[in-house]
Amino acid sequence: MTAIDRYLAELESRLRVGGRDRKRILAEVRDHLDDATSGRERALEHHEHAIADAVDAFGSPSAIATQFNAEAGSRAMRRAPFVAFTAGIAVFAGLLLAGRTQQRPAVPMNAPLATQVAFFVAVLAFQVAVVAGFCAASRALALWRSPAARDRQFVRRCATISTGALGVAAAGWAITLVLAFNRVQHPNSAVGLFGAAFMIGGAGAAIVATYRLRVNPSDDLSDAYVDTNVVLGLGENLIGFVRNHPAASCLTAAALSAWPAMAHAETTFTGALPWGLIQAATVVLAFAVLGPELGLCTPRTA
Amino acid sequence: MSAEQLKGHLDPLVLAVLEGGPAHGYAIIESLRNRSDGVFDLAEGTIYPALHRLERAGTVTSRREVTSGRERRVYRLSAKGRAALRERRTSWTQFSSAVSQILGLNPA
Repeated sequence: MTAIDRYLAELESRLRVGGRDRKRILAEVRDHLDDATSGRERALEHHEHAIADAVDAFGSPSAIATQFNAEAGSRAMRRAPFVAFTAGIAVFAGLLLAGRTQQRPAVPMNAPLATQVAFFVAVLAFQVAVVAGFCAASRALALWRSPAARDRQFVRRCATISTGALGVAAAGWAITLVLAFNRVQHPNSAVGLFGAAFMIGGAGAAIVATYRLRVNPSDDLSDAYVDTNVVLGLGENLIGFVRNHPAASCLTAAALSAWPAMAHAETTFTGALPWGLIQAATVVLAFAVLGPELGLCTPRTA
Repeated sequence: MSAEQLKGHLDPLVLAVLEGGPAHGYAIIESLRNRSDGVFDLAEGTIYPALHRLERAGTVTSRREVTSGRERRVYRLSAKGRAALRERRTSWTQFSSAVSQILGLNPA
């Protein structure tokens, strides 16, 4: 193995670029090092010295890989809002389709406990996915042209939470449907499963988009977040607000959650409020605790 | 001159080199070094992320060609690249003239 082979092996191990781009980079670097070696052989007597000099002049594998990775990360970041939007549409369409198969109330009070739990988890997870997805999409849109490594890290963390929650929501929904179909021979079972498949497909697309938002250990993460305007920074500001005012946030979210809960359960607002409160408290708590831990919002203000 | 100092200027410099004709990566970095009398002595690998970025922006195109008996990826300036280079020359002239005046290098 020559010094060029060793260099290429190290560069390849550090590259976070996939498919054809990766092959092209490695081929171009090899061509360059071959040319550089030939060019130096006239001045340096030994072939090995010429190779070593050419490799040295090319730059360290980590520095060169970081530049390629940053370029690939920026492109993935620019695509991320579109993928997130498409994934969101797919999941929403899946929910609509799946919802059309449900009789009202969606999960009757006398349904088995497993069905109720699966339904509750699906609804909660979907709420978490929407909030985290909004944070990721707003940050990605706000820094469309110059996504620094720190911003990619933020978007990736939000997107990871969102896609994970989407996966949980899709699984919970599918379990709810399967349990409901076992219980009652539903006429629209095919539509319901098609809806669940749409949701899982959307979550899958979002997971792929998230995977491409790579952040290298060597990336400069020291820059503070760039201030964004009120609308595009709404996601982060929201998490910051929730963290600073958990009680008010929880009550507001509970009131908002109780309304659809009341419609589904065909009960009164007061009857649905405790369930809404539990839902809201879980979502708010998740973001209040996880947000700062994952670096998703600015530190608590005094 | 460090890569940090050249940050933001490398793309137009590469476009200017390609204005003279198609070239592969190694030839471009050699040309940059020679035309700057050795001042722009960058890590040679830094040219490739810049070339890929320019190609994605549509200012250069590339394809594999045989040059000097070897197959290499050769880059060419596109029409969009020529326009970008013209624009960059104008803005650079204004910028450098203003800086020179402030530094007292080019008294009016």
